[in-house]
Amino acid sequence: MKQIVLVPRKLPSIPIEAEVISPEIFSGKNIEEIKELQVWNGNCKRKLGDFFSVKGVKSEDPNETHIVIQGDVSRVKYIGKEMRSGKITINGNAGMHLADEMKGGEIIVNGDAADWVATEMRGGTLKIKGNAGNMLASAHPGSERGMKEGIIIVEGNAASSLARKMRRGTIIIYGDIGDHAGSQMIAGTIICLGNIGRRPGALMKRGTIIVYGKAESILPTFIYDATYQPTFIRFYLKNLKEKLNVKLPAEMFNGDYERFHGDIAEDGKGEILLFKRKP
Amino acid sequence: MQGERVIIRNGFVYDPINKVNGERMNIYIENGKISEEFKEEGAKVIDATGKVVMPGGVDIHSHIAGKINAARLFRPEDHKGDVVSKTTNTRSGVGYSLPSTFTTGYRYASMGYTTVFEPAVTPLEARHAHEELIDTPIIDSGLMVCLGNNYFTLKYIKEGEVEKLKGFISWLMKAVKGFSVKIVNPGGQETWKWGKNVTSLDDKVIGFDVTPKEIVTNLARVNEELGMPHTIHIHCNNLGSPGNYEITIETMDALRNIKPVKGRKNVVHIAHSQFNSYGGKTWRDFSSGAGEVADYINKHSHVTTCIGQVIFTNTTTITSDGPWQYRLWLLTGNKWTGADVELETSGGIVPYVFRKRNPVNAIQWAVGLELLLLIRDPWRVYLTTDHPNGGPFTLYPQVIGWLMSRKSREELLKKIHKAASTRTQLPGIRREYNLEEIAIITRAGTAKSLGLKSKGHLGVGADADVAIYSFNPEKDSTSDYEKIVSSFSKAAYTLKNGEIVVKDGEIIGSPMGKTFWVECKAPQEQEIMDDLEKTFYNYYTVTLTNFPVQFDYLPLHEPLKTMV
Ligand SMILES: [Zn+2]
Repeated sequence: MKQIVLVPRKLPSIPIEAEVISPEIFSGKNIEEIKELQVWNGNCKRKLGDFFSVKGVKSEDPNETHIVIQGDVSRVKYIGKEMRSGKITINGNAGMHLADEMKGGEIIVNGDAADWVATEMRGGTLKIKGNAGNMLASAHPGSERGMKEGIIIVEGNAASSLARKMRRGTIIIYGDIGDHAGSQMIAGTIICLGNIGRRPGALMKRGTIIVYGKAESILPTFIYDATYQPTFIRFYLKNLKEKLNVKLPAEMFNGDYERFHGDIAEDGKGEILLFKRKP
Repeated sequence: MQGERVIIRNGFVYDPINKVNGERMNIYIENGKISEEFKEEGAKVIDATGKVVMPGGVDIHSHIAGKINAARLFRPEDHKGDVVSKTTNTRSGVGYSLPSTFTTGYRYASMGYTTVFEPAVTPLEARHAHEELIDTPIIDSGLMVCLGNNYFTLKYIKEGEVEKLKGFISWLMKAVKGFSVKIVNPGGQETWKWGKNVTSLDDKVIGFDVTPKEIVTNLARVNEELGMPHTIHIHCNNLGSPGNYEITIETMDALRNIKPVKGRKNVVHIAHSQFNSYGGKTWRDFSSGAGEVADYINKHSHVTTCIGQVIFTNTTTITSDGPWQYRLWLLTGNKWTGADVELETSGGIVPYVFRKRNPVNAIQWAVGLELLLLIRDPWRVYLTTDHPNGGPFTLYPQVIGWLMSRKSREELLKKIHKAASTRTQLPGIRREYNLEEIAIITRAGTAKSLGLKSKGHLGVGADADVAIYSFNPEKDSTSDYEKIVSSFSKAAYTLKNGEIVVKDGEIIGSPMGKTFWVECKAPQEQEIMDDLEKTFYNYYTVTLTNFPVQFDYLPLHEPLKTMV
């Protein structure tokens, strides 16, 4: 892959909206053209080059374009919006609306990510090495569906309202998850290796939430079914480990899980699987 | 504009009210009105050679103010998909099925429409609706006031006090600066307060012991005796339900013997009859009842109707019909919001996607076109989508295309669920509209039905609201769907009061529109003031003195006299 390196200069206190930072838009452009790309700073039109130094090698193919951001861009919004291919690596914290409606390719954040990241994601892979903010992989306000496809791996924690109205895809959080995870979920899988907050899966129709740690509370509209060893979990986790390099505790593979189905206020075909520790 | 003179030269003029049918002629404008011929010197000349010239469009039924604002708040996703940037002449805006106020005005004008009536305002919301109209540029408007479930309506009918009802409506139109009487699911909304609905014209409204039939007949009688410029405007009972064509015909028939005010023949306007012309008993044997409804209208001159055509798109249903909106929520599982407005009305909002592959939706699409094509007199049937219920008004040109081009209907029939072909008469209908008939169902007929003397025609003295379309009736084929849609989507010119507001589909001027309202003067008003005061004091959240809408809310307005 051909690298284009962006280094943020001193960024203004008013956030920048830079959906132009995307492999499709960078590919086919030389460095000078990339610097000329338009961004918004508040209500002012500015150029990308006003805020970033740009270096690297021009690439003709978005699949071969790798954008590397060296530094903190927590006040830069919409990076990788609707990207389909290629790669973005952020060596620092990422701002709001990162990977908004991302369709393909890969984004790696070596730091924390702000709120509203991977909103209505439609494909590709997002890896966050630090913590993620609120509304990760959720639906835009009012929308019928949230994340539709793709894989999200967060090595730290995820805050509240994770995966609201999720339709499909896989989300793995190594740390803890806040309140209201998977609310109004339609389908898809959320794996929480830490503890999960209040009311997971509220109003979920289908889908699976697997929790290795503790659940703070389960809604009364979830019905306890059984404690068992789901066969699919073994295959599913094995796949995640081998194909995506997800680090999973060995005891998860063959352990006991308490199964709850719900939310019976909706279709009730969703499930929460709580890992049961040996006494 | 004042003092300015404009000549629209050499266009093919369609002005059905003045019996001008595609003749090549000039239109003269002076001081914002159509005028007698004058010398070209000093006048602005618009060359309309090879183009169609019509009066500005007049929409009789489109939800553009009032509860649509609740729907805007309810559907941020509708805004996100349709964002409009500002230009040097226009403000920014958002919204596909629920465009913001400014965008609404611009989009209507760019289609050549200059007058649009908001058909469902509850009295308490009137102040807000007027505020929205202030922010809706270019188009003239007026508010139809929901009265079919109003406490006073039901009470006076129950008590047999028709004269007091007359006094109430006379007072109310002045108080809220309303234009006409709207009836939505007569009796059904009041019954909905008890979690129930009415399903026949003879059901009793809980608490009032009156029937939907008594509500519509009394209101129609009062409306005609007051001499309102527009007839009563009804959204019938059982809207949206299988088999509802029967109650639609019963409703029309119940009004057959009402004596119309001198100067017109009709006494009732059936709103969005497409949603009320269904056969079958359940969703499984759902079919068209358009043939029966059209047949009734063809045989009876006391009815006019607008269609509420369905278009395959993602839109928003908004009505005052609370029980129906609730049912639609149960049917779709989409989000729903409902409201109960004190002593006046109910309401609800549910987003809805009309899908080509859905048998019911496919039939609904066909039913609208059947009505438009089977009702023979174009002066009594009008093009609407019941915006946004059947689809956004911006898609009217598609409906014009289907009406003018049989081929385009047949092509779409092949792509949609076969129920549209097997359970409706549409495939066998050969009729194609001509441009004159299009002019009638989109401006001349609607202006006439609304009783607007200054609109819908290009005779001397009329408001100089003119639409010019890039369609050459001598060269372009009237069955060229694409050409029709593109011509009617973006007017070559739109003039409002003689000012050019649109050129090549783009807004270049944005004057404020005016609001029509009706100034009734029934002496019976005095008899009811005590009653009003007491009821407002006891049951309304506002007092009687704070209720009326002041003229500050109508910066440009034109009071119309009643016809008596
Ligand atoms: Zn309507």
